[in-house]
Amino acid sequence: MLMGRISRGPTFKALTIGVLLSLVYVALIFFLPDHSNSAHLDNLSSSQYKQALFLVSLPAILVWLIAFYAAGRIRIYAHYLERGKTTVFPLVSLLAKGIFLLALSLPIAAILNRFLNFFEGYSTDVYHASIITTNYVNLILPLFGFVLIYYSVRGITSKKKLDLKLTSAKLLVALYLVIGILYSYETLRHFTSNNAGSNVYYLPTAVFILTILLPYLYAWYIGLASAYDMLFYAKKTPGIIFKRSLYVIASGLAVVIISFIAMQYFSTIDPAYGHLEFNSREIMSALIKLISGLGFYLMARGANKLIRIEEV
Amino acid sequence: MPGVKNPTTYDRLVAITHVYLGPAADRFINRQIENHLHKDPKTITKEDLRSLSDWIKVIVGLICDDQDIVEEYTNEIRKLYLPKPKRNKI
Repeated sequence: MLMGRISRGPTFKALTIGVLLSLVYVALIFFLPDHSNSAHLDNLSSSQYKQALFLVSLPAILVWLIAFYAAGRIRIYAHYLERGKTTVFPLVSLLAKGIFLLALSLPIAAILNRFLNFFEGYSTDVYHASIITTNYVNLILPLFGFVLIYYSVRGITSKKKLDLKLTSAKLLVALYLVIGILYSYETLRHFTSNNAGSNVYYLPTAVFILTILLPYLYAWYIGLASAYDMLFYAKKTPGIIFKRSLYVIASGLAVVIISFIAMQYFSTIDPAYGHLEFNSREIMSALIKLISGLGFYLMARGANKLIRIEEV
Repeated sequence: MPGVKNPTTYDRLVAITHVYLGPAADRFINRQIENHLHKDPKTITKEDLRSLSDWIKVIVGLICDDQDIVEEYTNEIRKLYLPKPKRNKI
């Protein structure tokens, strides 16, 4: 009953990249010399610390794989739309690329954190340079992902008159303002403190504002706008069965974007470079990662339902 | 279908399907006609709908868990080929 199925190539390719990056990360945990020693976790030997780090990383690795799977599934759906000669094909393809970049940013950030931990034991200059590099890499990949998602969603929704509700749009702007003001306050107070060592970003204030703070605020604005537009579009789109599947994707996208904003928010206002600690910060970070995993899962599930419609 | 003068059987079928499958409706209907009836989709007749509706019922059952929706959809298609019930003259 399944007619002319499109090959699973894109999912396989995306998952392969995810598995390879996961293996690199696990190898770094076990084989890269650990300079944080076990001071952060009392009474643990170096190998016990590495084992604990590995176990704590397992849920995160699962989230990465789900994220790559979701990107692959949306890519396959785009292929079906291409075969159906629809005009939205390039836009859905762009969405898949945006999701892929978000998926890619997760293991890349974790791998860089491992290297940071490694450099900590060497020259201070190298360590500071690696912190600056990590901060930019953590920013750039999700930023490009958000930009691609924004242009994709804007293209998809522009084909239909949405008639957005003013009240919910105002709420979105209010939410953005609260997040933006809180974020600016929390990050900039590191610079205004009298303590010279409190500049955890190792950047001059102006450079930090222009190259870290403003790009994050821009990414969050377009991220929230994309999530809102996509949810609204899914609500207004015709087709009882089609709408349900699209709404699952839109909900997943909203969860992913909000969890990424939360991840970026907490990782920049209180940066922790490469150390494993069991505290409220780590628990919250793990929870946000799991929530993002749920978002990616919803996206994959929604994409699978849409693929099914195109396959039968 | 709004605005279409003298809609064909194909137009009516796509219009009904649009309520359930939205933008995927025409692609879905084209596939079903080509694969099960081996015909040019635009040339289907009311007689073709009888066997097509059976196929569609099975296939929509694969993509939708809600049997009420599947029944509602196929009943709408049946209305296209079943004779309209005569009204009792009082």
